[in-house]
Amino acid sequence: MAGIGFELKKLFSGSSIIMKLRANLFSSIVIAGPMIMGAILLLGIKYLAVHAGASLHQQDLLIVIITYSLLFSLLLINILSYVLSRYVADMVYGNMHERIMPSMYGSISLLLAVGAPAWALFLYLSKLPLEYSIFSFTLFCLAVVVWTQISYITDIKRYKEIIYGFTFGIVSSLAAGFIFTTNNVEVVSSLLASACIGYGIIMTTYTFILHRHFPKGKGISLKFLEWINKFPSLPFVGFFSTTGLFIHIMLMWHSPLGAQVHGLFYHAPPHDIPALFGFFTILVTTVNFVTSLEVNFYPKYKLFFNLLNKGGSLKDIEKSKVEMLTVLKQELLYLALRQMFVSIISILLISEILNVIGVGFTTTMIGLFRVLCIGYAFYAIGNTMLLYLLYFAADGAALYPAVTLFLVNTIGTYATLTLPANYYGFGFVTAAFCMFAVGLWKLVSFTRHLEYHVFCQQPIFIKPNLGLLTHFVHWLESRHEAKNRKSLTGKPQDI
Amino acid sequence: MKICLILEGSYPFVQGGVSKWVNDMIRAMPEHDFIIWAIGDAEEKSGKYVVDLPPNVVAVKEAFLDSALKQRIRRSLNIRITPEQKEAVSQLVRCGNPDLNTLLNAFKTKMANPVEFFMSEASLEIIKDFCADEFPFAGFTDLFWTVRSMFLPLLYLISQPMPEADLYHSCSTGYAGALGAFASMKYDKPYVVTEHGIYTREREEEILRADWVVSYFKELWISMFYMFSRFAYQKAHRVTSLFQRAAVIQEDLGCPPEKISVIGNGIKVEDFKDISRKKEDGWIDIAAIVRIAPIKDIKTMIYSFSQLKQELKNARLHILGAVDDEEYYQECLSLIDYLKVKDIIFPGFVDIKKYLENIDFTLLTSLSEGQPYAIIESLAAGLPLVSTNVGSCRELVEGDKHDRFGSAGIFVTPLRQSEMLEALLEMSENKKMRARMSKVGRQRVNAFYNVEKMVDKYQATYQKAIEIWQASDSN
Repeated sequence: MAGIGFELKKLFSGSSIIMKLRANLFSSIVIAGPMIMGAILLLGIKYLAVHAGASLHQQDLLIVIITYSLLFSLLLINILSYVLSRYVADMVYGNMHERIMPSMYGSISLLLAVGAPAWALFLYLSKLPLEYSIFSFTLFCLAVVVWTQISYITDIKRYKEIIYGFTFGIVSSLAAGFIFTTNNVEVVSSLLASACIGYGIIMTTYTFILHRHFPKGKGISLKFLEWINKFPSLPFVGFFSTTGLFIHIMLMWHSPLGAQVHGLFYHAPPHDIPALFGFFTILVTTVNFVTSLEVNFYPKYKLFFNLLNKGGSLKDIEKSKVEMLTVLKQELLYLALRQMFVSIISILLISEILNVIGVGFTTTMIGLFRVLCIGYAFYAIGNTMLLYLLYFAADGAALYPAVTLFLVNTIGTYATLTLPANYYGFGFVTAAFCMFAVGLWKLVSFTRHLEYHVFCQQPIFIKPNLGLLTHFVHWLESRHEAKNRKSLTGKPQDI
Repeated sequence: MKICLILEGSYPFVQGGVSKWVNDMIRAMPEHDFIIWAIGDAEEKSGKYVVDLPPNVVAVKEAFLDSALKQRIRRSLNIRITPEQKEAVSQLVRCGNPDLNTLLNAFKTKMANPVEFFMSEASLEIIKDFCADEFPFAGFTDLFWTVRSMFLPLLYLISQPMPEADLYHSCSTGYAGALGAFASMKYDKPYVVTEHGIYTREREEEILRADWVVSYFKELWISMFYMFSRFAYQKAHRVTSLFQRAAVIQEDLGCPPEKISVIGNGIKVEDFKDISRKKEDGWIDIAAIVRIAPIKDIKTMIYSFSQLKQELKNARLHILGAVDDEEYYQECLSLIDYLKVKDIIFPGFVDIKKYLENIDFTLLTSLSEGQPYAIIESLAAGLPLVSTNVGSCRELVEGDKHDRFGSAGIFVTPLRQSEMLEALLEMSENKKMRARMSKVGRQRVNAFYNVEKMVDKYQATYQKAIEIWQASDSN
């Protein structure tokens, strides 16, 4: 009889119920790489400064200006780096490569719009000589661009090109520094200028690389802001994990080991230098992670998500899950073992190594190095687990180890400052260990309930995302379209 | 008495046979109060009624299936369920025989709202077990989403507050039938199911045709609606159907035969008494009183008529009825264009009774029908008809063993254009036959399809349901 029962189609058809799960082709940012390369440049410049006969204060000033410029720009860009990474992954997945370059320029502009005035204010308050300020400002801005570029190049897995670019930059920078200093230009200015030249060259190289790999852009440049609404945890994961990694260094500047260099510029060489050397020891995990991820883990991960998306049976899905998690476990174990090996060797042989290199370390510094090495080892593995969590799109879970690192490091380092100097560094070790423990806990509990997270936590029906930033982006897009239309319809009249 | 009428995709949102029937019934029983429990597909229809509610409708409770999808979820997703609840849900997703009480109590209480339930690990386990047993080779992701979207609306509906009444009456099986079963169980009240078509079969056809259901899950979807009708038949105290053949199908679907009685539709005969017959004007005017929808098979109608036009230049086809499916309507228009048929008229909204005065006979090409008012009214107006042999059309046109008036029209097989053409030609050319059939039709409607008689029978059905309920209660 007429008029009973609505049409099922109207309710049930549509993409919402046959939503596809998506593998997160999410390249992780490996910040250790650029940091280490930055440190190499720093050491080279320091060497040149000594060679050019700079005073101790000049050397210190040089080092702190460069360190601060690089460090704060790095902290700034890490707020966006995971968001950008996921945006790029989604654009690659959705075959919208033309949206990638605009997002890079958009994010750089946004970061500079926020960061540059803040940095200028910092420099002003530090009452640094104008020419130093200008160099520091330039270096800061260049570094923001370079870090962002690195995050994009990482996304297309051109790790080697990152290193080539950096090597080229370092060599040019040191060459320029050598030329300037041997031609009796003021030593601090000349070496600051050479650092700027180095980063400028890196930026140019990367721009070239990026334009070779990504097509010409289309669409608005701030589209990626929508991704902050979609993945609201990511900026926090980025901020806390990076700031957490450096906060103990910044706190130590204000400890009894620290000293004011100029204005707001502080340093604590007895802690800074061991920390820097300690940082080098995690290079092993950084390099191994990239290869282990791509060669061993990624194929299993891809298979698992392909089965989910392309009609794999329950049995196949479960089998591939077991395989993927087995590989994950193995890889983590290998990474941990390698890291442990390198760390132990470094701890045992530090005095001998230093004797060979000929860098002067006090007993306190050697002690600190040994302590911090343990911390960095835990951090390396903890951070790897955090990256795996991001791989599984477990952003909320990834926030736990990130926040743990930041909080425990802040509180722990503060606490150790009230204790005798023998205890320095233990704040960071505790923080890194906690991050490792929390990361392990989160990763284990997440993967134990992997299907649950993959299936059940998907919203049953996709709701349009209507956050503030999304509204803003939509507004920008409508303006952009209107403008395009206007220019299209405008042309014939002009003729 | 307060009667809760449970309607699905019908009154008061949609015009059509059932809406007309509901309206007649409510107005004919001013001594009772009615609550309309209207199930719709989309919230956007809320409050958009296409009928005037009679004064004895005391409340309209709307329930929209898409509300299920808009529910808020709390963060606590670790829902614990008892083994009985697990068994009940497991039976539900297998379209077996779940314990309705357990389901009702699980979802009406705070255990979880259904959306939360379907986001819990407990539901995943149930679906995984089901998959391993029944669909070991099917894509699990597809099954997962299918099960979620299939059962979420029902669980949502039973988790919502239900109107209280002295008697529950679903006008179909399906969601309305299942809901009636749950409500009568919850409040322990008598329950009547009246079917005005065979809902389950119509859903089956819809799903078989559907392109949005993954083919290997079609059976599952169909089983779900079979299960819904079992819920209704099991819990109902009385079940009615419009005609004998429908009663047999109800029995096949699992309704205990002692619950079933047949009550045909009725119209106000006197409204049609004065419709005068058409005066000769050189045209043969054929009317189809139908909604424009695929199930009415308007396309075969157009094909047959275009063939008729080649034989009879003076034939005209009037398609009277609202557009139910805009896409289908456009397809029909393109077909007319393609065939270059002239004289097919869509007059839009007209006074049908007045319009019928200028018609020679009517035509119905439906693929499926219950007991169409279009035929009863056409007969009451003294118009013979050509109709496909579906639903109870045969009883209406030719009568049954209690009815010896004779034939009031011609039958054809659905989709068979050549048969239809022959019938149209015969009807158009044989004026004497039309006059004879016209008389028979009026006599039949007078004798059997009168609204007063119909209402009496439904009143008796309510009474009987109450008696059976009281008897079972006192046991």
